Amino acid sequence: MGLRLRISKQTLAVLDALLVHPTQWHHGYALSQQTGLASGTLYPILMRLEKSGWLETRWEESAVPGRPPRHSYRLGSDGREWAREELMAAQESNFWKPVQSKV
Amino acid sequence: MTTQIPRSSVLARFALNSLELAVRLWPKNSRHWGKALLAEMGEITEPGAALTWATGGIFLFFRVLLAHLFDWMKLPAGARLSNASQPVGGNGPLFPKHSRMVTAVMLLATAVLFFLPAGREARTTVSASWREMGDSPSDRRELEKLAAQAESEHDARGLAFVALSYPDPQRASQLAERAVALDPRLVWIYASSFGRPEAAVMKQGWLDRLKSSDPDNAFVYLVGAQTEGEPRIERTIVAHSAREEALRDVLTGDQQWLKEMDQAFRAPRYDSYSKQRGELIREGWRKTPNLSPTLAVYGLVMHRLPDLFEIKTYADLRIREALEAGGTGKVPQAEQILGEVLAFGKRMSEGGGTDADRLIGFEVVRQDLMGLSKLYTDVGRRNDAKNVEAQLQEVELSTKKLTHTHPGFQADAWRRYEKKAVVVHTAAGTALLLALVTLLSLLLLEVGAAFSWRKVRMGRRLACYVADYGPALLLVVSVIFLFSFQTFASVLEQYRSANQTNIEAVDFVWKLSLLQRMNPLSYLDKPDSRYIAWLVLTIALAITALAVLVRGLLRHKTAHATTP
Repeated sequence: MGLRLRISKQTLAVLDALLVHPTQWHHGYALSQQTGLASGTLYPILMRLEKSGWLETRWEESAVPGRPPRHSYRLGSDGREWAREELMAAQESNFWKPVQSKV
Repeated sequence: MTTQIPRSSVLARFALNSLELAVRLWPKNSRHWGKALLAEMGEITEPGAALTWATGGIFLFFRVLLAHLFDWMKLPAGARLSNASQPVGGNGPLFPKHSRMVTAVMLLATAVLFFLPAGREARTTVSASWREMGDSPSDRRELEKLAAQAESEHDARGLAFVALSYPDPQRASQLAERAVALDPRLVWIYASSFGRPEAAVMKQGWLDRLKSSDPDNAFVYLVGAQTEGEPRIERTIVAHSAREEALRDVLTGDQQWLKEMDQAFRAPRYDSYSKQRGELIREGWRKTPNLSPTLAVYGLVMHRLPDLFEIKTYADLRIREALEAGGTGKVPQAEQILGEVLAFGKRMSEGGGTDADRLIGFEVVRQDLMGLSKLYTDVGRRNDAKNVEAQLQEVELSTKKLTHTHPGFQADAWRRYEKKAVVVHTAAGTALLLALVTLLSLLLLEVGAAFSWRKVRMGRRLACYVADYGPALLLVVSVIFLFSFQTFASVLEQYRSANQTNIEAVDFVWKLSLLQRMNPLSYLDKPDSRYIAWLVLTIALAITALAVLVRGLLRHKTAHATTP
């Protein structure tokens, strides 16, 4: 907590995707499809969000037997509030437009 | 791990395997992110998408690795990322004050200095002087590369340059023959090759080619006389004695030697090929300025010089013959013989090329004029004897002038260059020692960290101190070394860019030889008063370095003891 993130359009897209179903857990590949970001861009953002304390992570068993556990993500309650503020600010300054509606 | 990727997609399989490998090598503290990426591969059914996903993962791996390396570089030598949070002081391990980054930047800056053209020249020249100007394996590799290039371009002068610079006589003679085969005008290099220590280099047939290509040149006959006389002299020295009388008898009793010397004294021209040789070496060196100066010096020094003893022996013989003729009243015959000797001496002193040729020429002229003076005195021609005496004085004056303008006879210049050479060697030696000690300390800290984590020992404290100050000191000393070498760098540059041959060559070889004479290793086997300055300076520096080291060590110890 307390770290200031550099908010890029890609980060806003991830926050936006995580806020679609804010209390649900999201998987990396699904987030990638939602945001259109490649894994090499998405995961550094997730790593930074986790490091700054906005993102909660957990390992969950795969639905398919024999597959490794999957890492899932969601914003914590503080994180959700912060994300909404950031998205709002970005929209007001015309820096970013939400893509939620397109998904 | 089970995935949905079709077996037929080789590319996607390759990507998956690469990602698996990357996860295995992933730094521990963030490896779970690699595993997260890998786990998602099971959900991807499209081979193209799997490939894109895995590629992104691999890029992330390298990014994480770089960040990890960067974090590691921010720690001091010997520290691990896993122990980075440990408190400093107390019973904990002792580390240098500066980070690896600072150390690496200093060492890198030093390395760059030595790999820049000026630094490389300084390094190769000084290291050559430490080898007593002997060649190194890298010199030979460089020469072979030049020879191959010259061969492929049919560059006869390039091959001749390598032949003159090559210290191996067999290889040098092969290259010389090849160069002459490509350009017969280069036949004079056979005479140059003759100057090597191994007399066998003068191959059968080379002398004949020299004589037929330049029949009016006295030098080729002198080479012929030496080829004949030298082995006889050596055999006499080994079997009997080195008495001049005995050696003279051996030479004057050899008809072939007498014939060669007679032709040399009668030949209308004298050219020791010093100009051609100087130009060829200069040209070759200009083309490859990074070549060690050792090789250029070798090519210049190994040129055959006329043998003063043999020339004097023959001149003596002719002068005695003239005086005997004069004694029997055949004065015109005596004058003719002495005139021939005088003409030869003048040819050598006026058209020789090198100072050595000139000095030998002056000596022959002096010897001859003394004979002439005696002849005129004996036959009562006092005025003629007086004239000859005046000429004799002129010759002696010229000899004195020549020897005193030679850089080796200028005491001030000698001392100045000696001092500069001492500074160069001191800086180079100190830089080398510092580099070794610093690298050893860093290695000990990095490797020692694995087994002496909790032990603060004297050695570790010393290693920390050296790791902190060694790289900066090394950089400073290296800069001093390069600055001090500028004197000799300009000597090399002056020689390469000059147009004349003889004076610059002598000056160049002399100044470089000073660098070689003052090298610290030569002191070991040639104790001499000249080296006392060098020795005193070295001891003083060593004591200073030791004092600084002990003082720092004590400070380190005190600081460590007072840390809570």
